[in-house]
Amino acid sequence: MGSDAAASAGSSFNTPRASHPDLPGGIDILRTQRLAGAALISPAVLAIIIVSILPLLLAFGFSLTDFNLLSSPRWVGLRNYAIIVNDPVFWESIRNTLGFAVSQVGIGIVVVLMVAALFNGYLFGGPLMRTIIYLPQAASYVVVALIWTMLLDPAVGPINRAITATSANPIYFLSDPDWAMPSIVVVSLWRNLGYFMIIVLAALKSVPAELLEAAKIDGAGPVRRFFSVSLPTIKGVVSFVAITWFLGALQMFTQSYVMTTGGPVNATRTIVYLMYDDAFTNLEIGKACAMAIMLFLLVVVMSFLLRLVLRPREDR
Amino acid sequence: MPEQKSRMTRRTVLGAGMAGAAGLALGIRPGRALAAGSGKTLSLIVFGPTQQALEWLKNTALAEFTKQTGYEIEVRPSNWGSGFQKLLTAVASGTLADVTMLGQVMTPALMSRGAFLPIDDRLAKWDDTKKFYPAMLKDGTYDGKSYALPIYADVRTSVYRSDILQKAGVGPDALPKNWDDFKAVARKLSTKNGGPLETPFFSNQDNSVGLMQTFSMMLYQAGGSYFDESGKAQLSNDAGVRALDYLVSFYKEGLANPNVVYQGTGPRPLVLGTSAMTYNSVTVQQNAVEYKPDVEKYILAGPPLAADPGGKPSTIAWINKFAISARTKDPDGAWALLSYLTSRDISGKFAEIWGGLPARTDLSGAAYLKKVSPGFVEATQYAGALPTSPNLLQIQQQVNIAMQSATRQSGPSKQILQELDKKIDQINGK
Repeated sequence: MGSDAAASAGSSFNTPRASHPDLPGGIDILRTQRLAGAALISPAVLAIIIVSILPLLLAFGFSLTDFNLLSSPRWVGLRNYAIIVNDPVFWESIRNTLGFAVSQVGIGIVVVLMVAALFNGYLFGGPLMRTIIYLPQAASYVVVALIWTMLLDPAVGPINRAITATSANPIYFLSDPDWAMPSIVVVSLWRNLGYFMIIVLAALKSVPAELLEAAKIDGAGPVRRFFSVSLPTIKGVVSFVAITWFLGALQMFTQSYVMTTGGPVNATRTIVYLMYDDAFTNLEIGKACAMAIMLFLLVVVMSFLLRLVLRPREDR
Repeated sequence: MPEQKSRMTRRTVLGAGMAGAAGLALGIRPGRALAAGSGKTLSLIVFGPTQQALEWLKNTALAEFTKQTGYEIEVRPSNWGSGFQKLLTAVASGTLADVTMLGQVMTPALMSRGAFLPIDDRLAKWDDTKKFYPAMLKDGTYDGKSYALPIYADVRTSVYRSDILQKAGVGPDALPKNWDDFKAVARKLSTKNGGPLETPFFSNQDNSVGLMQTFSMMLYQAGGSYFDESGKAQLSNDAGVRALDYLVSFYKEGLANPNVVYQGTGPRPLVLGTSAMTYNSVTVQQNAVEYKPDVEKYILAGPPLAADPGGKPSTIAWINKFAISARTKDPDGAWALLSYLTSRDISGKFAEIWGGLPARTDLSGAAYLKKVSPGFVEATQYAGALPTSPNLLQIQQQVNIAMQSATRQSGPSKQILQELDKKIDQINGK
């Protein structure tokens, strides 16, 4: 937000106190406005408190207890946090989660930009193709994961049938520790591509035509126009896409749960998966809540760092 | 297939008739009980039903129960994979079904937390109680109290593809009886020795705990057990190490592939013919019927193995059960449903459709067992259950992960099992 906008937004707070001239005793207009504003936003604030802040506080409370859902919580202080940081599987899950998020968003942003650029008229496009690319987004992760599990099956999946038809050995996409996470990254990318592509495409369409026209007159080709005009113009949107995608990826669970159940040998066990296991297999709700708080902190830190790295140069 | 349809119809009629008789034997006279249950509803959770199983349960078995008692039954089917989580959240939120199916490892975890109603008094008055195999009945007890009745047993044994074995010169009368024999057959079948298969042995790797189940069988065969008398884990003792060394040796010699994982749908490797030897249950035969009916006749159950020649064969049974929720509002109705489901004919049909062996002695001659490879039935006498530990669910997952690592030859068996013992003791607070 520019400084003018900020000044404009803040101007109402600088209005001198005034009373209504026609009413006896006068009414504090500013106070009335503030009360009305508070009343109008109160349902939203209440909703945020109930669905976000209260559960977070509760989770923090439970993280300091030993609680198994079926009996009363017992205070244990920071013991759950100590257990977590001393558990090598937790650090393995952090590595898996960050690996998934970085590779998915890193590759994803490049692919999204390329596809959006193609649809923006550089090479080809059209509503039908856009719809096809967007379609996976309409399916739930569970459905997508199940379909891909079948497609990637080493014995009966069509992908491996094609591979073995060339006399090559089948690839154990989901059961080989070296292949499992990359396979999940590709499936997630396939599912999310359409959604983020639409956002970037909308931004590309808003790039002023006169800028592109001027660059063209100056002799810039399509690639140069994209990198020197379009991309800098939509940098804010790309940053937004990268941040939201990355933060969402930190919470990956469904794909891993459906396709590999966290294996093989923990290769696809993410933080959320570990939380789920602790809560609903191991009955350690306190430990799961402690992990949720740590994930929350990780998301906050990553969000801050990404904003710092991706903010426009003029704002630094 | 028309023949099968006709058999189904006869069975359905017979089942309905027997169910009526069972109802009468239980003292649930239709007229009288109709008044008791009329207009009331009971809920029932079942795990792992196929579409056919669900249809039989709703349209035949439970329809008959409704006719006899007046109770309407709301069936909540679920898969085994997320079963425990569903039960746990249902128990915590007070929404557990009146009667619920239970897997082997779920049972102690939930019984120890008071999720189910003790049924000792009812069992003492029920004539059918003595008809259950005592070991299976005992598996539904915790801390001296009975909470669950067995519905069927998933008994494991060595299973082969007889047509592929034949190619390696192993006839059905020369099936392995001990570890050395078993390994020798695997070697004969391997392409490394001119056999037909790249990986003849499949040790049940799946997205659940199949590998842990195979290891557990080998552990029992080697004379080992999970815990010592004080309850401390003892997998890293000589028997445990021997069992794991034996399992890993198949991978070291290239007779099995750790990356071959059954994803839960489609034909299993044995049915597909990519392996010819495994440790499993009647479900392999069912899998063949479902995906490759022409292969069913080649699925051959062999005897459970002994570790040494002349040694004691051993295997494991997974006993599935039904229990009544501790918070049911209608304990009598729930007991009527539980005793109906575990009554002779319903229990027999349930075992047949779900792919298990009967939990009742009076079903040892059940007609459907004639279609089951005899080795599965014979294995029952050598079967033991896993320990009744409240933390078994958590423990089995840790064992499975350790086995995934071991079969990829990540380190010496002793070291892997020592670390595992430490984890298990940590889980059990030892």
